[in-house]
Amino acid sequence: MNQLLTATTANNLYWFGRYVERMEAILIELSDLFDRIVDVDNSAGLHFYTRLGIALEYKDARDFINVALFGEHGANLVALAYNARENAIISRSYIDAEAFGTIIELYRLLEHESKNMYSVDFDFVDTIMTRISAIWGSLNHRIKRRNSDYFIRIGKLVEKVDFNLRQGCDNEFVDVILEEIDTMAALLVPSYRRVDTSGMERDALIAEVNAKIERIIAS
Amino acid sequence: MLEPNTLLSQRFWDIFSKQNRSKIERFQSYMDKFAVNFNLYKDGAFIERALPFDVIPRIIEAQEFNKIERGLSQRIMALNAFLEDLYTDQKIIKEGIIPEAFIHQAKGFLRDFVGFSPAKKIRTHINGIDLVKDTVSGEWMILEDNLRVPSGASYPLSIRDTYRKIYPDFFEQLSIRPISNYPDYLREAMEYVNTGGINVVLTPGRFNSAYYEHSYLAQQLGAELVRGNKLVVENKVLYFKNFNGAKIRVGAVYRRLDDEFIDPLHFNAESLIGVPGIIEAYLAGNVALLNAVGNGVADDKGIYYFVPQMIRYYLGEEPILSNAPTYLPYFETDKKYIFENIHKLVIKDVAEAGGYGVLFGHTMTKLQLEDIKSLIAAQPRRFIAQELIEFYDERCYIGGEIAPRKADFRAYVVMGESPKVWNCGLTRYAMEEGNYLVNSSQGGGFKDTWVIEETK
Repeated sequence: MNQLLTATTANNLYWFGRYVERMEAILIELSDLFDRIVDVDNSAGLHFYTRLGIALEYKDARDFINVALFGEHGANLVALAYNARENAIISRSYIDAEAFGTIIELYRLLEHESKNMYSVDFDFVDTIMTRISAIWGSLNHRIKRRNSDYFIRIGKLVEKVDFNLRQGCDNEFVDVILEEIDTMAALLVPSYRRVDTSGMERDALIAEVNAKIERIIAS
Repeated sequence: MLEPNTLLSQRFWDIFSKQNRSKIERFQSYMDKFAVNFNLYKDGAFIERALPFDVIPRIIEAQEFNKIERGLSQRIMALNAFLEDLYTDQKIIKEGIIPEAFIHQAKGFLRDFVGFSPAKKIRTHINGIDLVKDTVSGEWMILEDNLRVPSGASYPLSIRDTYRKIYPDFFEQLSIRPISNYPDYLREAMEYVNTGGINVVLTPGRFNSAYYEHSYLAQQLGAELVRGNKLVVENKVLYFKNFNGAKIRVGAVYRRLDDEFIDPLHFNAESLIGVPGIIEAYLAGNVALLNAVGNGVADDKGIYYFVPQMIRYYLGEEPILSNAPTYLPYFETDKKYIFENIHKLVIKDVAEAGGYGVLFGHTMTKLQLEDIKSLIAAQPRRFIAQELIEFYDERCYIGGEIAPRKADFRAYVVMGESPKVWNCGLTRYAMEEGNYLVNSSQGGGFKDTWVIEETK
């Protein structure tokens, strides 16, 4: 637990974890939404993106995949991969080489496909998912965790909580993850103080989980 | 002109002829995947790009390299002695070996640092020496000394592993000297002068052209990669600011930024990438800087002229490796020669680097030659002239064919207790046939360099 890191690097690692997790969470949703658009309800994708504050327009399931991945909105996968890549480049000395290489490849692939005149199909989503799984797998190689690993993992879990709260997920699931975040935070900073979140309203809980990193990294 | 093949280089080609060439593209895939970049700024725009790589290595036979090794060790010992003398006793000036005015006009000479001697009197910790192999004499010649912040070692270091994985036959059948010890050399050099504390690599940041190298070397040598704003000086001691607010003492800094930017309190006040007060800590002997402050004077192309004299003066030896024939317009006889032969000489601005400020007389019009003569007459200390060295081309694999390209060789010498010459280096080649400018910042590419023993 004595690995040194600057606050900037710790932040970059944290945000690397968040952006990769955000990509994965969106892709998992896309998989479900794609089926629902095909089988049940053409407007299924609209509700999900509305909860993210994005007004999406699409014609059919295939169009939905393309607009979701490459459309001009904040959950655009190219933009998310770009942000993950930038954070990885800055903190690359602390990231597993294979995970680093995979995010570079992933961004390149997404950027290339976003400029392709032909639309992608669902196989492409599977390809991206496989690469993201490879990133998480590479990051879990080490038996002994270092501080850098904890920051990535905290980023991943904070994003998971944030995303699920916004999607209306139940609090029990959130509590389990918050417990893990607090455990890691206490390992990083012994003086870290936990905040009792029981009974907190959703918006307050979102604010609290997003503020955790500020109590771990000294300004 | 291509260097004739030897028995050893022929063995390379025999193995090469049996390899699956479609695998060559895997090198580019590797460099793309791991962002092995040397970035460029063009017209104000940041261009992220992989350094072009050529699969045909430069081959140097061990016996030939041994002479380079001896010559470079000798040169670095002399240059270190020169810098230490220049910033302390200045005997070399007092004894008239180098004119005083010549030193004082050198941009890289920092008067404020006269009287200061760094830890263990080592100033030239990490050095990049540029050489070419002359087609006339068949000897290696020194073109330039880089004793400030030479870059490039990480590129052959990172590609070698890939080479071994893609084409293991070469490494099984040829006795190629291993190169993975370079980070060890760096670590030893840092530890040797460390004043007590951790080692850090100081980078200007993600948008520096060699940021890949900074992060790669930091990881390999086990030092913390840090930007200036995460270091702080208190009571003349340098500290690393950890994420949790703890301050950890720093004992050695491998700084990847020039003197001008390292401390806004001492040099350029507008520098945002330096560490305020680091020079105060350095002068108090509380931290080692690699390389030492003030080394720029030895990179001066005018001072290069005097290196053979330095070797004789400080070491009492004859130089093992020669300089390219060089003329200083500062001296009247040399100026006369330059003016009479300018059409066939190479003119260099002493303060420039990276291939900038280099003019080839044979490519210039009469009017341009007259203009440069006027400039030289007005500012004789600003320029040197060199004979155009016809150095060997290297064989490059371009567009599926073997094609000749001008190539130099940057050797790395790391000095801890004694100088160590790395069994590799950065062979840089020009992208266009006939072009003499091979620098990475001029768009040049690189090759691996294999030092091969005669027998396996």
